[in-house]
Amino acid sequence: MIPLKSYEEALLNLPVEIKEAEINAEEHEQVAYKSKWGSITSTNSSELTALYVRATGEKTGYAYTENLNESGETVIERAYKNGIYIETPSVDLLNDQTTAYFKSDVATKGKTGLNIGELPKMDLEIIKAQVLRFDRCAHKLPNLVDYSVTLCVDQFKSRVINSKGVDISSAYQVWHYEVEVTCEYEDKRYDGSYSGNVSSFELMDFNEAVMKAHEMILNQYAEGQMVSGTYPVLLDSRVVINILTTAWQLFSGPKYFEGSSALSDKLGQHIGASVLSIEDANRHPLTGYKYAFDSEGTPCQVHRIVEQGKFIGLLHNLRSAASMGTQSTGNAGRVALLTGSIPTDIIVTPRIIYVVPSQKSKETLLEEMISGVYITDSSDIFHSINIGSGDFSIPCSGMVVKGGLAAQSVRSLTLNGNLLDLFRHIKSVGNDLKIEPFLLKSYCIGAPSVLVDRLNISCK
Amino acid sequence: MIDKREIQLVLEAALSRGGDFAEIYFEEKDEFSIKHSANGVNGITGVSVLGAGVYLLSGMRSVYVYTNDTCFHSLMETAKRAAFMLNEHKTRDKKDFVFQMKHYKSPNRVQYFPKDIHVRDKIEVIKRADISARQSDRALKSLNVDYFDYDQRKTIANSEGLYVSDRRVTSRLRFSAVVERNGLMLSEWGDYTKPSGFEAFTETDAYLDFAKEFVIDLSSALDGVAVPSSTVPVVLEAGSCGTLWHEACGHMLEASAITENRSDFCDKLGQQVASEKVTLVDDGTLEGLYGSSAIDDEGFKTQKNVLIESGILKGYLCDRMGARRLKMAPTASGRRQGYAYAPTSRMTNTYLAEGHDDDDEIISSVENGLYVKRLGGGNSGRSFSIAVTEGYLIKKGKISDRVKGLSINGRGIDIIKNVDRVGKKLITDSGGFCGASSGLCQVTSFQPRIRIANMTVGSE
Repeated sequence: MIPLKSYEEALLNLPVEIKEAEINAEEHEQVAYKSKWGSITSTNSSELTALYVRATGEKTGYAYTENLNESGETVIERAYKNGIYIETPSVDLLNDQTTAYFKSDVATKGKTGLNIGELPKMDLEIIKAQVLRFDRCAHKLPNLVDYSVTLCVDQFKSRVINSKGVDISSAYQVWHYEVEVTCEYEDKRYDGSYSGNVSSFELMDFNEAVMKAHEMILNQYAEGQMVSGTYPVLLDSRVVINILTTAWQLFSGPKYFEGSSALSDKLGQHIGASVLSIEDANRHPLTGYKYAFDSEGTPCQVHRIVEQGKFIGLLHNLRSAASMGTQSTGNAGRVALLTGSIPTDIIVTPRIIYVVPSQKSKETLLEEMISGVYITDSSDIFHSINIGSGDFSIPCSGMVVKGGLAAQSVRSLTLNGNLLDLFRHIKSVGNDLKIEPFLLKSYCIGAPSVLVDRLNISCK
Repeated sequence: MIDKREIQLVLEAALSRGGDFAEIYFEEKDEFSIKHSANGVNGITGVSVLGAGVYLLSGMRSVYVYTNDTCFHSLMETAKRAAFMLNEHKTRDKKDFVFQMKHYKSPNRVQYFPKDIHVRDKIEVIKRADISARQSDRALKSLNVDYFDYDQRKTIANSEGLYVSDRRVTSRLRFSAVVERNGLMLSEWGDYTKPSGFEAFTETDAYLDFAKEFVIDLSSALDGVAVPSSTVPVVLEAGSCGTLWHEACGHMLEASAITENRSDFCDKLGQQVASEKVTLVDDGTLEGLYGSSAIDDEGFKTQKNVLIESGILKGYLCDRMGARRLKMAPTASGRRQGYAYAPTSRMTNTYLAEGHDDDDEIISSVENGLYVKRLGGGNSGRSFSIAVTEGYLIKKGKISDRVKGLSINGRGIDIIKNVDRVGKKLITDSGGFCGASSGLCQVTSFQPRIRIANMTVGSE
């Protein structure tokens, strides 16, 4: 549990003008080893505790500190003073002991008496031995020009305490492994990469990671050509994740409420094909990430956003839920997209949002498509999808598919269309669900491959 | 902060088990932000950051350990951990470092430090910007204006005796808007950035013009037409279209890409890599620009680096470790967002030098083509993609219809060979953030008007 003695005392002795206050402490420890050609090239280690403080008098103000020498009283007072100038009528809502409960089996501890799980020790020798084992797997690749492998262990601890008696903690550990390879085929160099995350080192599959990174290279080098037009398209899970990384904002309660989501006013309507279901969860067996409660102490849940094409749920924090007369879904977060400042405000973010997979393999989807384009990689999702209109123009690359088999690679493509059209034209989803952490590892995005019956592609 | 004698002990502890170089980086930073929507000020946050990182090098290996507990005892533990992770088991003769204080003048002078400005004056700036934006176009549906100021102080001391400090102050407004007309909706954000204190808003009303133009431009984008896929000449306007150089080759010229063999510019020093019209420079010394500073984040005085001269590759951007690996001299390009990141090679202000071609002829000579007035964000590897935020068709040498949903992409090393016009008038850009492995760094990228002889574009 993160020690917050000075803040606990301050909460018990709040000055009369401060009606409520809350502290969300986030501790992040990390050890990472990078290796190539059998030798460690760089090592990082860190330990950082960040405190997010909010205090409500007539209005709510915020403060953030990494300065552990400051007293709780000082930081709470600073937050309170920032609230003096707020002009909007509402104040932030806080959970109390009845709402900040937890049913999750993620390691948690609170006044209700659940035991916090003892996190395994970060053993540097084990991490080092594992990264060198990973290195040996990558070393075996053919046509190798260069490569590197990285192993990173993250330990996350969270605690929320407030003046309403809430005091909950959680802790978990995640192992990340990543390989980057450059191979030369026919005098040209191609790059490939793969990353995975699991809850313990025994679950890491280095051979699969190396194989997938190499597969990415093989998908690029036999270059062919195609003409611009509308095609049946298979989007690889990597591409669907890329799209969902921006597109999840369509389901944000505040965006829906202010009318800036292309899905505004469409709750309860069918917005996609019946094979499309989207879920937001607090944990999933395919990732090491686990979210017991959100930044406000609301327990994280498993809930459907889209059920068989029907838009049935939104992502909410306490404030957005209250504005729509509903309950928080445990989606209070702080980091949505890249920003130049330390993100401190409570906003809405997913936890583990993913497209629900089916039983169909990627090979089955290719056979189902017969001919078309298999989009294997895409880039620049931040700038190429407009959440207000749903329009997208996504740079990508892929392979021409003939007779159910991926043949020549095609590059410098652009996928054009609208997200709502794309949702409606989904024909099948695959079983190859992959889940990746996103910005500052604060939430995860997941998707299997998705077959779309028609999409516009412009190309050279 | 700990004193010089204690710093010496920390550096000695870092080098106690081997290593040939040790550095400690202290960061203290204050950020302040105000959020504003249609209902007025709805959020105010103060951020306080304090931390330090120990960087240890041994030949081609690096170790970075950081903490936000900056007391002497904790920093000694941090240094010992770095030494342990290096794990060389060597003994070293104790050698006192004689610190030499270095003072370098910042190219960005600050008149009014943010902490000296009352919050009411900052709110007044937002109110004026909000009014300016709201009165500019009837298509505006919603608008948020956020204010940010940033005051970072850093001190770097190393085992070569360097002891140097720097301070970086910036001010920024972020506009997030949704426009709607005839059922069509678009959302976008844009930053007004200045590498200065509050004088960014008192010496000029430029931010009010920015607010107005941001909304007018977004509104006019509603009238954009899709571009059929075609290969045409592309004219990129002077100023912010310099993003092309940042994404198409800047990142590929960073030592981090070169040493990992993930750049098309590997092993090409002294060779013709671009059109003869291309001279590309990265310069962190330029007065009044967002990417400028007195020193880089390893304590080197910033300098002008010519990367490509008349099409010939002249150099790479090197941080200390990158320079070691490439056996070159550091170019004051070691940058990081703060103490939570190890330094790596990054750009500062990257620009294409002016040429000799007639600016008007660059457009009038195009029968059918694309005129890009502004580029948005982008990303890169060997291939790049950048969003076109404002673009028009060129018909018979004249600028005509606005285009929508477009990005330009391609392989950097191919595109820069295709530059056939470079105008005479170099215009700077206000700058923004570049995200990479050492976090978000302030940068600018700019150019004179240029033409790329042919490029494949299209959004339908």
